[in-house]
Amino acid sequence: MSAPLVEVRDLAVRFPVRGGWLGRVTGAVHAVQHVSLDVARGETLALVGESGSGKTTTGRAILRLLEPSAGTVRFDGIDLATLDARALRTLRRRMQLVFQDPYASLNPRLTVGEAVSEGLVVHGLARGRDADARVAALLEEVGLRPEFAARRPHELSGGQRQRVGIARALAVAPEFVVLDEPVSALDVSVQAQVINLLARLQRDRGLTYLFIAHDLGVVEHLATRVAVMYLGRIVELAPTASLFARPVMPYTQALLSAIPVADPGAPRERIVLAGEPPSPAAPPPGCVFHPRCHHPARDAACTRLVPPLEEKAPGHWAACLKQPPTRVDAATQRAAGGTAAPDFVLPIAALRSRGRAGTAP
Amino acid sequence: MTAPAEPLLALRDVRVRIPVAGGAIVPVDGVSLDVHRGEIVALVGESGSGKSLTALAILGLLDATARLEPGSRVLFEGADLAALREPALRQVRGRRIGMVFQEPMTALNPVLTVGAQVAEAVTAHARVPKAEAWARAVAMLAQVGIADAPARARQYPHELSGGMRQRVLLAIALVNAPALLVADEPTTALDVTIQAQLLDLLRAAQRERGASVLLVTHDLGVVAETAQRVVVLYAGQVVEEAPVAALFAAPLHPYTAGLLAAMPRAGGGRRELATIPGTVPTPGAWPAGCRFAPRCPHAWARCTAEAPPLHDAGDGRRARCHLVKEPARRAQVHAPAAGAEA
Repeated sequence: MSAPLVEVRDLAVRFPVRGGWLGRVTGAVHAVQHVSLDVARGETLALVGESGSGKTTTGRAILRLLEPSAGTVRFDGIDLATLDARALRTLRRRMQLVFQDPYASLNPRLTVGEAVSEGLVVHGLARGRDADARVAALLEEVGLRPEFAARRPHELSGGQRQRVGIARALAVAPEFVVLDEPVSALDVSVQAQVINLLARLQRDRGLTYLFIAHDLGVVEHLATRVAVMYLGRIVELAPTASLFARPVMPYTQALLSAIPVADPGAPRERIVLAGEPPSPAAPPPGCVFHPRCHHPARDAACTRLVPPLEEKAPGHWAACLKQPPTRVDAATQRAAGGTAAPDFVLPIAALRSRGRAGTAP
Repeated sequence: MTAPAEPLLALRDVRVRIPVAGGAIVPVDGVSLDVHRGEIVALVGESGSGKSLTALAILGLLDATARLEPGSRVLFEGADLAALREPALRQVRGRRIGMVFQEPMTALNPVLTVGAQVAEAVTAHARVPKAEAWARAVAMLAQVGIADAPARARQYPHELSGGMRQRVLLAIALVNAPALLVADEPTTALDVTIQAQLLDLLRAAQRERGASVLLVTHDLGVVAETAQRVVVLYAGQVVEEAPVAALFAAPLHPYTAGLLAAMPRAGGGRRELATIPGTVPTPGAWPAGCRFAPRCPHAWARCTAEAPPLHDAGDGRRARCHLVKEPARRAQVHAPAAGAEA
């Protein structure tokens, strides 16, 4: 296998917390901690998690739209932290971002043609008639007629605006695209068109995607691998089929079991989580998920030891002290107050296999 | 389930008209539907279908420019809400009909504690001592799954998470034990694990209190898991109505079939998703004939020439499609088309 296009090691992003009427910095929110992942060339790595999990922050820190407080990001072997502003700007051409809300991300005063050609001009890739021709070709590639170049964002539907957002990102011929909830704001019938478009563009252009999403149905459809985030950490990272069939981390199990299934006859088995995620400003010690965890072997060790993200099955990484195999051995767990031995549980296995049976064509 | 003869809520030919420059649009155009006692009915549609306006019309909450057209009837517990004036409507709203909307932050008063807002819902409709209203409010907050309700009741909306605020709204909606709950996208802004908790609460309200629910949503997964019956809206009209199992097993309207096929789902792999070409037409730009015809893979000349009525298809099913009465043609196009892209 060739070297990954993107390598992230121990990434952390802290936001200062200001308090009091003077607005002094009184603490920090660890929005993202100890995030390590690789994105292989040509794959779609999905980053999933609920609000406050840090998935959007991670995507922006990888693109260096946010300054990480620790860790490294290498793109095609180049450590982004070593680049000066000018070199970073040059490299940015190869990494693009598509936003969730295409309306907010398009300048209302620019025509579609101006918005799409902006990157071409900034990066000195084309100008004048040449740029116009490139814009027409890009619009066609995303399924819009060339005359759309003269329109403004308010004249477009949500789906058309998202196509423009995609054309704009593709204009500079990037290799890596961070898709931040690109279809969440779209109606179901239009969402399917954009999902197909993203898949086709990836095939045609050999693109690598980091796909940030909360809709797990869409993720299962598009992703090669999935990283699950909870309270700023990656708690599971696995090939898509493996993650959905055999989720290891108890949080992932609960998350998958909560997805509504569009099949009224499907048997439902749900792990209902108690309460809500704690605030990222005050994450629990030990395993960040322990206060809500349903694992029968959960014990005091979970409240004290941070579980490492370790390989539980080939290519399938998860962070849980109680799901074997684990290199945090029984003696270490006992020393931290643990009383229960690790014991693999997969409470929703039956649900997933039965749920699938009826829906496959 | 067998439905009793008299529905709890019956909409008959509901039309909402909104004046615009140079004329008027009718974004809800002749909607009729029933909600029976103890039943959860899903009202499904994409943006611009008229589903939220229909919900607001039931509650008499249309904004000042929108009007119910004469002939629209909203029959509820023996009264026509469409004919009631605001003071009388207020007695129905919040007492006999509870309501929950998508945006929990804007629906709550930022300067009142959440407990006070639930208690206010009690005292607005009954002469109850303050202490008792407060006790009922706290009990209701506990019932909708708010841990440590006595303390939470003293907090302000901004101190609560989105999921927690949505629970408070549900508590306000349910505290007077209404016969009907109208919930417009109640879980759309929430994370999936919190959504699961909220949907459990809706089902519990139905099971334990016998409440009926009209659930307005665009999410077919939520529909499959929550509703007994489904009404599908497209371009301001009901295009299909069916018991939930029948609708998912064999949709009659090509629009419903297209929506179901367009959903990415478990086990689907990375195949191309089926799509519905084009976009939902906006009110005022509805095509002649069948409003879905320009996007329909099965449309023929009759579809653009003649608007289909909402045909009765038996077994509690209705569909606004000429194919219902054309068995030969219907057999030919049984499978929904796949792969078309706009």
